[in-house]
Amino acid sequence: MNLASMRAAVAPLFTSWLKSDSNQISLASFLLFGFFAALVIYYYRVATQSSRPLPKLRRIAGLDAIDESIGRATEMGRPVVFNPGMSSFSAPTYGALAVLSYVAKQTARYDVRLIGCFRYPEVLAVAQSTIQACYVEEGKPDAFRTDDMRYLSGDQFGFASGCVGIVQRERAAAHHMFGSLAAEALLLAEAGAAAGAIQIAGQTNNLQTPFLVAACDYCLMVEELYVASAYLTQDRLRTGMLAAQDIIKVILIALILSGTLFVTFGSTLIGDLLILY
Amino acid sequence: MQGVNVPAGITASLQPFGIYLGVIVTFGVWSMLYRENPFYRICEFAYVGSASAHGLVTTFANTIKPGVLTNIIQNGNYWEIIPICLGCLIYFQPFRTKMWIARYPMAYWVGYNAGYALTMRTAMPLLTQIRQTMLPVIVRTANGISLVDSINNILFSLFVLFTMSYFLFSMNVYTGRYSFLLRVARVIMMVAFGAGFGTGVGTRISLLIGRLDFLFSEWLTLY
Amino acid sequence: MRRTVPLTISFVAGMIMVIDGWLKIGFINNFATRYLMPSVTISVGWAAGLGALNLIRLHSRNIAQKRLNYQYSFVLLGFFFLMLTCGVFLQGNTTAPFYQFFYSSFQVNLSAAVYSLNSFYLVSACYRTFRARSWESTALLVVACFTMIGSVPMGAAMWGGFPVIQNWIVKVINDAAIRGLSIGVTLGTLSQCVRNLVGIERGHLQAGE
Repeated sequence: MNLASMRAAVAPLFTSWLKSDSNQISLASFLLFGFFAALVIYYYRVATQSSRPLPKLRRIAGLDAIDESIGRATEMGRPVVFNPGMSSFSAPTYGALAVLSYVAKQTARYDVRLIGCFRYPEVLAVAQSTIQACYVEEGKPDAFRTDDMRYLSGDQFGFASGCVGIVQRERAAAHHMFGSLAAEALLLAEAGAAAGAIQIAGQTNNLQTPFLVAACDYCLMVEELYVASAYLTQDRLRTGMLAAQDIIKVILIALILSGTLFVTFGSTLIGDLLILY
Repeated sequence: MQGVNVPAGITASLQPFGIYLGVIVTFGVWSMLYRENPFYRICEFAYVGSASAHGLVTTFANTIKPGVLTNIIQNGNYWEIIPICLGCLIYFQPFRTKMWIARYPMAYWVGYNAGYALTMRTAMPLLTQIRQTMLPVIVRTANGISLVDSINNILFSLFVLFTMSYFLFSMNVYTGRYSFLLRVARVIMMVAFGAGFGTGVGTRISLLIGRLDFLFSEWLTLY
Repeated sequence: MRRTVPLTISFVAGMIMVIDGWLKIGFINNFATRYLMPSVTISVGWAAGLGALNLIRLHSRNIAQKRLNYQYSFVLLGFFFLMLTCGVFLQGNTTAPFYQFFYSSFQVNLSAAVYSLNSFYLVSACYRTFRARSWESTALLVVACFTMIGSVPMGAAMWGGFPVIQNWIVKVINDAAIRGLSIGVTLGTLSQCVRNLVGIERGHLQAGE
């Protein structure tokens, strides 16, 4: 059965309710997404029953270093500067805000000043609320300083120049760069290095990671940003989500291996099954 | 808003000053290479101030003005008043006792964007890439088996799998005698990042060339 | 109530987008395209003033309390109001000549100058990587050198093997690793957004309890 006849057989079943795309990969994507959703629900149930075990996460040095950097800031009496990236609401920003939540709790606990630099007002609002909630949770609502939440314009390099100035003038002991970073990544990292700060970066842009690896003390490897909140909080729900994510990854690895095997022996069946509709 | 008309002659006569302004701010920013100093600070604060205003002016010109004048008043899309009110709720955020009101727009934006990412446009490239990784490990050509292409395909597939499995956080795949494979995966990524670094250098050098070109051609008029 | 309603709003808005992204359900597709998507643009646009308020409040306080470096706050507020006046009140749009003059001669040059700092910082980043002497940084730098040399004509003139090695590194190792990373990032994105959608990550909804 060739690809065209398989497509012709499958199309009537889905054409009335499933959106399609030019690559005709939407059915496979939908099934994968559906399976992921099912796994999420399963692990949600597992995570809410404390008697059922969840897998342990492997060590991530860059995330362990967050505590070290805050400890250093405490000893030196200098602030921690947190930069949640350049994008508005997107997955990397959500990842950064999850890390920020942990960092804010630690800075509140150890009475370290936390300075936030923001490019988008909406991210500023969400981050400020997050930090404020952490300070309240730690029983120090008055330690939160609104003046340390700084909006630095929506312009990419206006924001970058503002961050560079703040990191250097405030002599940050720790500089955390998470979220989505672009061409300004190296500028920020070098400014932190010049101020003598411990620098931890975690972002998902493959083009910028090389420069951050070169310039920062610790650089999370791309996807590790999304693991940060589960790793730092050791929360069962978040760990459950990661387990679901890992199972999908194993399935994809198996798909690549089987597809490679089939292609080697002259069959494109696995690849064709992915582009049915 | 009609605004005040500024005669074109005034703005034309300002143009030469624009070049000098450009030169001053260029050196002001570059002075940072020595250390953080008042010259840089002036440029930085002026930049943040003007860029913030620019963002506000752009939003006013592209969203707020046409939204009110065209969409609501002219076209009668009165439903747009609801998102306007929702957006304005964010201004309760600085007030400690009323900040809970600001949660509504925040929740809306966060939920919307999370949902937006959970669709085909995110999931689709995933399987496209998986499909593109299914390469034959024995490449047959008209003259027989191509050893070089076969080795390259084997390595490519292995590197993809190593990189993917490096990020299996909840499964301790690389433990005990296999722990060295974690290092192998890291070396692969470092080599890839090195290639990215080398490729990116050219782009960054071109930025400096662009600035030098401005100084030499427009300011010093050397060519 | 103060937390449940926002969580519900978040979940409903997100789910409408999810359903609209995958399924053909007339009224949901119509609602998402006609109302939901524009409403986010509109509401975010009207919230833009929050950043400006943050800026004005901070720098006014700097000046009022004569904090360290408060003089620079005058510069910031001065340029802020100058641009705002030119853009909104004087001519009413961003294409007006007076506004364009400030924008192109000042802001564009500042942007290019800040961007060009990257070239200088590249050297210092390389130097520090070299000094770090870890096997990771060594691998990164050696490959970076090969790629740089191989991608310029001078490299090929020195030794014909440079472009070949560079090409192989980029095509096989770099592309493979980036593909592996991209697949992981996409999965991570899905996982992160699910956490936000179902309210597992909800730190921002807890302030002001």
